Formats: sequence, structure tokens, C-alpha cells
Amino acid sequence: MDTVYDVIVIGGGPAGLTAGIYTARHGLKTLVMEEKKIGGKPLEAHWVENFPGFPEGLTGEALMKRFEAQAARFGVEFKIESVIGIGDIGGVKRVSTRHGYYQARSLIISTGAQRQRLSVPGEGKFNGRGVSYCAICDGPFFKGKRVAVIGSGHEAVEDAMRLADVSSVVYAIPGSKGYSEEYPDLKRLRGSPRVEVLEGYDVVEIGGDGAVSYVKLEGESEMRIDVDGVFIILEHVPTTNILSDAGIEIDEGGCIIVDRYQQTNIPGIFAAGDCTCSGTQIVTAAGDGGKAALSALMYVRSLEK
Amino acid sequence: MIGMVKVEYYYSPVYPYCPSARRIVSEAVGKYSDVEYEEVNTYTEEGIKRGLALNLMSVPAVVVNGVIRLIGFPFSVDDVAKCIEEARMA
Repeated sequence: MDTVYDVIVIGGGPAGLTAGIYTARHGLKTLVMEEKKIGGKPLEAHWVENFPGFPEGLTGEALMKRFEAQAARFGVEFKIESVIGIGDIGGVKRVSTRHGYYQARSLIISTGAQRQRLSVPGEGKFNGRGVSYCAICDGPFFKGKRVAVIGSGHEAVEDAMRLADVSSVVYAIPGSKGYSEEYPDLKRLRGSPRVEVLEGYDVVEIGGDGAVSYVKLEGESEMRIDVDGVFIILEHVPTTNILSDAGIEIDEGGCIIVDRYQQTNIPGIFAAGDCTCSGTQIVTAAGDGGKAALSALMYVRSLEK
Repeated sequence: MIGMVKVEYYYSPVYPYCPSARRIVSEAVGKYSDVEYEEVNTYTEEGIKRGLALNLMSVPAVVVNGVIRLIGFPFSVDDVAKCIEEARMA
């Protein structure tokens, strides 16, 4: 734990890995910390076809493996550990985990965003017993079964289409406000013989006996639909829980506040990607990560003068 | 009386939490020299078939002696060890 890195990047998604590529390439001793799997949210993307440079498209996993390999090539170190807090102690930043702490001259926070919970009765009780947050992971268990897909974003539309390939019936439930946008895939979704789009309703309860067997909806009328699975695919919110004691400013939406150089209110601590609510695209996160890295580079160099 | 224990770890290679869960299950299993351990990939026909036979609906999951004991993440090394201990004493 005596090692003092030039940069610790917290979060191993597109923003964090790009930051690592840039800082390590400039010779800064760089550690990327990730609590789950290197690659971040794009690992759940079945197919990415809008990341420049890959005209045929590729899976999110394949794309992020390239990010990781490029970072490793420049000497980035990786640690799979859950960060529980960060602090600024006399110019050195300290990153705490359950196993100890790591130190660096600068930090780049790229903790991404996590999916919102629906927060209705039954959601927690049936988690893993019919309630799922990952269609690509758990969808195969619902072959020939009836499922509901709850969410109004493009991922919910995409997952409803994916599940329609295996399930007997898919109820797509965007909520009373409807879909966030008129996504290109919506027409296909509405035309699918296995999909019933239930607009104008909110889910108020998930119920069953041992496992999910129904959801209750409220809108112009009340409705109960029989389902075997409920996929909750809501929008993401920034993951900024580790910042509570560090004094880093966040806005009312939980987004880290940064300037045009990705600098937070604390010198030497930068932020990039979805945790700053800058765009929720791989390409915007990567761009932010590059900017944050260059700012961190200038900051670290300034300490050496 | 200590009985034989088999731990099966069901996972999906596309779920970001599964590698973390795997490390925890491996660490817990590693505490015992007499526990049989198997990893089951549910992204294969065989894995899905075995999962469905158990009525499994989500991964990651820890199955001990044919019974689903833990579903979803997070869980701890202690959680897994507790499942193993209970199976040993059953």
C-alpha cells in the first residue's frame, strides 16, 4: 500500500479505460480499479454499431476487450476491488477498499451509472425468482414463458425485442409517460406478434407464490397480467455513493459536477463518463475519459515543478 | 456426521457481476478440501437445461447438493461457507 500512483482511475468502463490508455501512454503510473468486470456497462450491450472505427459493428464485450488490451499494452495496472471511499490527505488522494487503501497524486472518477429500481412491492422479494435486471443474462431461462419488460428507454425496447425471440408473450410496459423517444425499433416492437405494448400504465405490484406469477398495473383502469418473469430495464442513474465523505460536488440528479476540463471542485480529482451525466454513450464516455486524463497529466506534472 | 458436499456455480459470461461472484464462491470452496466444485455456464444449451431442471431463473447462483441456495449478487464468502457448512451437517 506504500506505492503512490500518479493516477488512480475508479471505474473500468469506457471512460476509465480511455483515461488509463492516455495517462499510461504518457508515462504516468496508472491503476484502474473496478468492482465488477473490466469493461463496465457496455458488456451488457448485445451489439454496438455506432462506435466509430467498427463499420460492421461488434459485441459490447468484444469492444471493451479491445479497450482493456490497449490499456494493458501501455502498462495500466488493474485491480478488481470495491472502492468504499475516497479522501484527500495533504495532497495525496487515498482510495479505500475493504482490504486496505491505495494512494495517488490524482484521481479520475468514472464510476458510471447503475440501473434504477422500480421500487414497488414484490420487486425485492422476487429478485432472482422471476425478477431480473438483465435480459441477455437471464432471458434464456424464460424460453416459451410469459414476461413483462418494464422501462421506457432504448435498452428496454431492445430487450423486449430480444425476449420476443425466446418467450411466448412479451408485455412491453414503458410506464404512464410512454417511451422516452420514438426509437427506430419501436415500430418493429409494436408489430411483433409476440409483443403487446401496454402504454399508459404503471406497474404497482409484482406478485406470486414462491416465484413471480403476475404484475398489477394502474392507469386509466387497473389490470393484472399473468407473467412468469419481470425484466426491469429502467434508465441508469449515476453511481456516486462513494463520494459522500469526499466533499466532491454533485448536482440534484446525483451527477458529479465538472468543468470543461473534467475537473471537479477538488484539485487533482477529475471525473468522466456517465457519472457526470454527459451523454450515456460509449463514445462520449471515452471522449470524457481522454479529456480527464490530459487534465490529470497536467496536474501531476504541475506537482513535479 | 459430515456429509459429502457438491457446490455448483451457475453463471453467465455476459453478466458483469459473475466474475466477482465466482471469486467469492471459489474462495469459500477453497476453504474445504472435501467439497466438489463445478462451474456451469448458462450461456450453453447444457447449462440452461441444467438450470431449468432446478427451476433457476437468474444468475449468478450457488447450488449446493442440488438445491439453489444463493441467487443474485452480492453475497459474501461467509454466505457461501454457511451454505456449505449447513450441507455438511445435513
